[in-house]
Amino acid sequence: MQITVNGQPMNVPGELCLNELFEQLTLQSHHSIALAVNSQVISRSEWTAHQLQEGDRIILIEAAAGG
Amino acid sequence: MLKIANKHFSSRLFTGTGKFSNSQTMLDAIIASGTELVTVALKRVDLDAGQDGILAPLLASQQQHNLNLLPNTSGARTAKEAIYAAQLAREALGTDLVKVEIHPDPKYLLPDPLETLQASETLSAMGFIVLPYVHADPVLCKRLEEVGVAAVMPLGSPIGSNLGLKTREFIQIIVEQSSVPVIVDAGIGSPSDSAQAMELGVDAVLVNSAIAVARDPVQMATAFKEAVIAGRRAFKAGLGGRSLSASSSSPLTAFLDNL
Repeated sequence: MQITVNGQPMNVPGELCLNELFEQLTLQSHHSIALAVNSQVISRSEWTAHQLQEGDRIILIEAAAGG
Repeated sequence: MLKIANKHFSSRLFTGTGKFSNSQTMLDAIIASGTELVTVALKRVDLDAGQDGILAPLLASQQQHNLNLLPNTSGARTAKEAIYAAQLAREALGTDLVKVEIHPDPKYLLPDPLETLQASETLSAMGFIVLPYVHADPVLCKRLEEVGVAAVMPLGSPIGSNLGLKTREFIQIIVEQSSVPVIVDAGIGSPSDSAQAMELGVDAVLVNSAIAVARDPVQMATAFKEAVIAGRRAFKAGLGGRSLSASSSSPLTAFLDNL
């Protein structure tokens, strides 16, 4: 199944929830992060229940320095 | 004590986290400033380069130093984008506070009043504590108040310009009319600028570049802290009126008349 994460194409297994995808991304920090699927913000408590679909566009954001 | 929505602040200096050379200097300067509210931005995680981690020490010691985070919607060009950014920020940082910042033009970064009003109305209705970054427009500030913002953040001059309080008279009108806290945001270039803003009766100032790019950000943060306290105290004490003609402060007695 083909999805994009922050614009990058990614091939993932057919049955995958958001939480599993997040684990695969091996980020240094899991704090201060939020995630949206097709421009819908999905809260962390729903990541396990949320199954990914073909063509999903995932946006992953983090807090950054700014004024 | 300053109150914004249900939050109390003993410091009237808010600081940004942008432009610091490293995370330790950022944290030291923020602690030296005595601030209890710091702004942060949002960005996409770079999956190749990884996370830059400059905020990590700050986020780790946030509670220890009694720091509230104020995420901004910088990068948003429309109300729709700002609302989306605010929802991401709430999820990422666990706060209802949001600085609505919508500036479509990258040269001057001036806020779009129509999009800002629209986003502020929607986000206030969604339960966010909205602090909109706006031009020093007294009419717009009243309209924002009507749609439920928790404070207004008029600019002194363009973001990062360090030009100071170019909007002084309009800020004065906003202070006179506002029933929500007024925070001067953007353009404050020196501690004396912040003192002047506080003397006008604004409730707080937000300073980022002037601290972050100073030769010694920690000393500059301390100077801003002292200037904001001095300016507030002067406002509370009541400044004397101005006049072009002199008014003697020494007795003009006639003891020299006999010479």
